[in-house]
Amino acid sequence: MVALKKTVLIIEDDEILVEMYKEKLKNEGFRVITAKDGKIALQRVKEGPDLILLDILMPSLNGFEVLKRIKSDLDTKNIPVIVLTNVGSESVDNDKNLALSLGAVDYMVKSLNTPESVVTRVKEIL
Amino acid sequence: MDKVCFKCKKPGVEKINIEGKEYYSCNYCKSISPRFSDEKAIFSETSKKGIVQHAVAVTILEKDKKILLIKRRVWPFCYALPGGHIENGETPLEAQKREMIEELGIIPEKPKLVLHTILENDLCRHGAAWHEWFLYKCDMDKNRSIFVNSEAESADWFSLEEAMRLNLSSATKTVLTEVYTQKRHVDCPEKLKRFGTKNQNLAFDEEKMSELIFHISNAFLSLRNTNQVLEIATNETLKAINSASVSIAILKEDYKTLEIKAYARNDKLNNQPDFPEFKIGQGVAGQAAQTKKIISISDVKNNSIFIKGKSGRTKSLLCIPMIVNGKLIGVIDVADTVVRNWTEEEVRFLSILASQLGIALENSRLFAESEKEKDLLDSVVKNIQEGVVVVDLKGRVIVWNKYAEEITGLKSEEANNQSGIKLAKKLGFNDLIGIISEALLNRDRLKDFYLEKRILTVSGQQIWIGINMSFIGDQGNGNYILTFRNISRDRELLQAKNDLVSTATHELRTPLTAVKGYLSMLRNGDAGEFNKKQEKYLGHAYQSTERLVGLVESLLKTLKIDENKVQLNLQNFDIVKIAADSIENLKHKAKGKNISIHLKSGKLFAFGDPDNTKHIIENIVDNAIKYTKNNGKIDVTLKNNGDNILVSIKDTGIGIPQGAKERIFDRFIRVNNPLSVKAGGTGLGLHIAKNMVQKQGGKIWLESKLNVGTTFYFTVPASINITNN
Repeated sequence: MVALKKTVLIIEDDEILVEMYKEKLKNEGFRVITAKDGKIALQRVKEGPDLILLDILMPSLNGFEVLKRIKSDLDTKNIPVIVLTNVGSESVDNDKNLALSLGAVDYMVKSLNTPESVVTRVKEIL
Repeated sequence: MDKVCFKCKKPGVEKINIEGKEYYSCNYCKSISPRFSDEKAIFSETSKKGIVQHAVAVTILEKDKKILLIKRRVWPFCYALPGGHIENGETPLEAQKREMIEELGIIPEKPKLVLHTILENDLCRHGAAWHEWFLYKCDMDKNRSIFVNSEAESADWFSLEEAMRLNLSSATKTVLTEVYTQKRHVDCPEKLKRFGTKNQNLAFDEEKMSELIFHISNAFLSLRNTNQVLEIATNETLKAINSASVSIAILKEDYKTLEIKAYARNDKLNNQPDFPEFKIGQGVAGQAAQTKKIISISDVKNNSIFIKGKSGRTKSLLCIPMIVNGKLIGVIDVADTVVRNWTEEEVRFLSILASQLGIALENSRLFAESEKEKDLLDSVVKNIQEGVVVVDLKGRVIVWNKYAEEITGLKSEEANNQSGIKLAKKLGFNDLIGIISEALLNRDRLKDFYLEKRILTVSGQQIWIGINMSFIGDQGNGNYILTFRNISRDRELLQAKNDLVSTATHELRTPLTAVKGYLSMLRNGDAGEFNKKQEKYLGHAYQSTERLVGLVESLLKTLKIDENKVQLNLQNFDIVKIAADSIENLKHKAKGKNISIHLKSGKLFAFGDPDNTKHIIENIVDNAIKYTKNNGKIDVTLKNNGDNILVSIKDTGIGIPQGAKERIFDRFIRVNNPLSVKAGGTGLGLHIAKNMVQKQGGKIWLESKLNVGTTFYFTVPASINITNN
């Protein structure tokens, strides 16, 4: 039986980056859905992705708020969330601490990672 | 008043004009003089030899009942020191004495009596040189008495009766009669002792000298004015030592010239010294100053260092330098118009005086200097645009400057002597005094500190102030000094700068992510294969992007350090593994230059932030790679150092010049050399590394030799619960 493609939700407002991660994930055999702001993200979360890549700085609803809502909803709280952002740092940091305490599995700084390393991390978690 | 010839003292002078100047021509003696006299010559008509211009000396010779009237020329300008001017190598006094011996067969001895107080009014009003009449021979038992004054030319004899017929004042006549008939007995006054023969040693009044020194010392205590004291010193010394003049010269600020600050002489006509200023080494006083030794000259004749003054009357000199702690202060110069052997007592007295005066002068100079300095400092402290508050050990305010007044609205009069804590209670703990009080309450813990705080000024403004507190003194004695200034503007600027850097760097991250991400995908073949050249170009583009990413990260890290926002995740960790990981991450880079990296270590555990430690090692090793030439070697060694683990990173690089060793940990510092240009970098790496090391409780330093290599050392605290072997 062919395993069903895992679905990754990319919540990211920068279209170029969305495309970049989407391409890479698709190439690596993932199904990708996207959301370009926090509000849309909350809609798409309901589709039940296997993993969420969550940006922090976004229009309408910021990433921390989105994370809080995902984790407070029984239907979605078990979906692993990797915060993929350009604020804060990967070593000890307030933003990182906040994200982890809200239930994120990891905190990755976009500029420090290549699409490959992000996908590698995604694979590790799934 | 009749105009009388200045020379012959006869009336009848005529004013004439020669080349625009006024002169007085005498109808009688035909002399021309720039002045006229207002007094007739006394005795002129009594002369047997024609013109007796002035009688200045009287000798009484009782045996023959004659008075010797000594005739002499008038020296109207000769107001100089007693002893007179020098003619043919001798003073008039000496000349007269010689004449007395040669012509009259009288051998003059010490003067025994002075008549000048009586006689000067009618016999010699013309000048100091004639004021004093000395009784040289007052041996009434032998019926011989001779009065001579200091300047006489020749003598005539008169009996008492003949003298009484002369034009003498009744007072003079009375005195002469009394002396002649031995009714008048006059003690020889102190002042006249010095007039006498050469080589005399008169008794020196030590008691008087001690009194004088005491007097002068007291004057220094009671009088602030140095000149006044010097004035007293010269005048009193003159009296005590009975010399012709006394001067005190003080070394000027150029340390080359001495200036006479006080001058006294025994006639009051000329108050100007011959040399108001002289250089060290110049003349006798200058020599005394130079050699710092007393110079005593009993006769200036043939003395090579003596410089003759205008009056030319100085015959003997005693110069005593004033020395304090080996430092020249000035010179006391005592001069006389007779040949004089300065006695031991005189020299001793003057030496004591010199040392007393020297110390007093030096003290008063130091006092004046410190007063001046204090005044300056006081006004600086008061007016500086920075708050200055000084609190003593009891917590009482002793300095409260203008700026402190402005910020708190509390006047220094209200603050001084008040307890800082009481003031704080009165004004509320949220203001400056509150902070001061807080500091004082915690002063044992906070000896020196700096803090920044927001306070409310009296005008209701919220401002940031930076306060420095330091303790000056030692245990049980000293003051707390608090300085503070308004740093609101600095804070605003700093915040604005940090905000800007923060925004800019975060904004840079997103496009960099895209560039880096797509480049990496291209290189990974996500968009198909590339030829070798294309791959090479992509590699360069990727590496450059990585550098940019690194720069942004460094800037962010520095910002965090500056804002004190760095947080550490402290834990026990395997530092050897961290070091190995760091090296692994850089192996690729080292390979490019064919540099080998070796790790030497046993099993070691440290206590710190593993990520942070990794970052530090990577930073230093990365640097080592940059500054090591191709085919070099880098040794990373970890050692158990007791309380901590010592990490050393040794390269075979170009080395760091001595002067740059300290600076190298500063921000944006890169040592200038050809490799550093090639190496690139932000100049932030070591600055960050140093801060990170310190944050973990370690130290960082380096040893370096140019063209041999550099070794960086840093320490990390050893693990708390895992014992390292």
